[in-house]
Amino acid sequence: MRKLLILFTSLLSLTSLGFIKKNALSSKNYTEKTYKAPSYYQIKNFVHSFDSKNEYLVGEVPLTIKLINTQYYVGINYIDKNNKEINLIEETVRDKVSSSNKNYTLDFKLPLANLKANSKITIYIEAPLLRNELEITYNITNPKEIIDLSENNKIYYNFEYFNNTGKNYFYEVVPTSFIECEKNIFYFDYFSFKDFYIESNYSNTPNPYLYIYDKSTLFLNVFTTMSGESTSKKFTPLILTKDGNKYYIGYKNKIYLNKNNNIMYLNNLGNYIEVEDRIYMPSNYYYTYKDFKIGIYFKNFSSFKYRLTYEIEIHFEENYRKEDSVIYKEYGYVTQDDVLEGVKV
Amino acid sequence: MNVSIFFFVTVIFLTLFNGFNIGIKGNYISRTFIDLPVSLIKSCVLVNEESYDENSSYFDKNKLEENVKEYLTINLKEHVESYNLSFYYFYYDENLDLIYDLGNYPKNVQIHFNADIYKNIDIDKYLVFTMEDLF
Repeated sequence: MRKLLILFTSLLSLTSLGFIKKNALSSKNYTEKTYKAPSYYQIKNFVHSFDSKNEYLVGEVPLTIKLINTQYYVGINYIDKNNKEINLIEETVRDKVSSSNKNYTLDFKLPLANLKANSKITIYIEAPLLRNELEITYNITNPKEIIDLSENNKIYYNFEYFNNTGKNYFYEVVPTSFIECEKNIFYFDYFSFKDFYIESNYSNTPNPYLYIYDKSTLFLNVFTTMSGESTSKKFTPLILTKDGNKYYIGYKNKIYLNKNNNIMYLNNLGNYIEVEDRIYMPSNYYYTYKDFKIGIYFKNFSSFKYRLTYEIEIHFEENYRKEDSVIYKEYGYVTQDDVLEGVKV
Repeated sequence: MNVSIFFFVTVIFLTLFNGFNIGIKGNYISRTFIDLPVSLIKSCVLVNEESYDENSSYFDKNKLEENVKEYLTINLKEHVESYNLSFYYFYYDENLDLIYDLGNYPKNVQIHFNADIYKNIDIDKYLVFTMEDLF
């Protein structure tokens, strides 16, 4: 009995080695771990990718079950950004396959916002006497983290992104968290981008754009002269300067502001105010600050794998000319010929 | 006789107690308005960019009224159901006569606040904010 058991285990091991050799990939973006008893099932065409909005990691694991009467469990778990182990899916497979249909597909959709940097996602297939795992390792940094508001009204935004998938898609950096920082931000008149760079091991980084997204059409009126790909966003191209492996992104544009209608133009069509290297945001539009986003938008990454690192520094500048006046507060009245209006609390 | 004295004392005590509460409440509401911060008003200052060579700051009316209402509403929420407010923009002409400012670039504002705290008792206060150019 003991000899039979040893023989059986050896046969299983040999079969496992054969399986690994057959399925080795030349350019892996996931790792394989602990293969045993592949004669129980087979995996074909395992695919995973980011969705079009870069909010989810989606994928499917198609299994062909060979021993259909065995109770299988399949599932996905990962460590979330709070270092908590999350079991996303666990399903039993036996009821879903039959002798005439031995195929089963495990679909998953994982929210990227829950992942931490260097997240490891494990897909497991478990049956009595065996457990097989596929480990997907991504280096992902949640783009909504790492926002610091310094004393000088600057936001430093660091981001690293590794594309290990070799897939071609868009990416946006959306530093929206600053809106939740301090209310003082709403009272500033200008914001400007300065000193940010992108480092890439991909030599042909495509043109980035600065974009402004605003739900309120009132604010977008200020930027009607900038081209955009969607009705809710306005884009302005950024200038890339290459220095070795680094690309420095500059925003240097002269824009002319017509104060009569608060619309910004690329040309001076009248007695307009010249504004350079900054996005002028008239402070009477501060009501819309809560609903607007500014970001960097990269379009059409290539299918090569690469790493992008970028830092952004955003300045909020108060209209300096406000310091040229002083406000006095006095108790008492100048007139009693006014009309009161009721305000409900 | 003792019952009458007891009743009389109780009425006096309750009257004093109510009066004390009304006083506390009224004082809080009054202080809330009187303590309206200058920084809140200053954040409503805009610069008239059309006259770039001169300093011509002014109050943004919409922002100023919105800010003041927000400040009062947040701080008076537990104390009153409503209050009354008026914003009177003005300037002085060469004869130092007070003129109601109908323009879009006001430099002076009177804020009048009124609130009922108990039946016929109300609070009625004024604040005046004026802007002076340094150059």
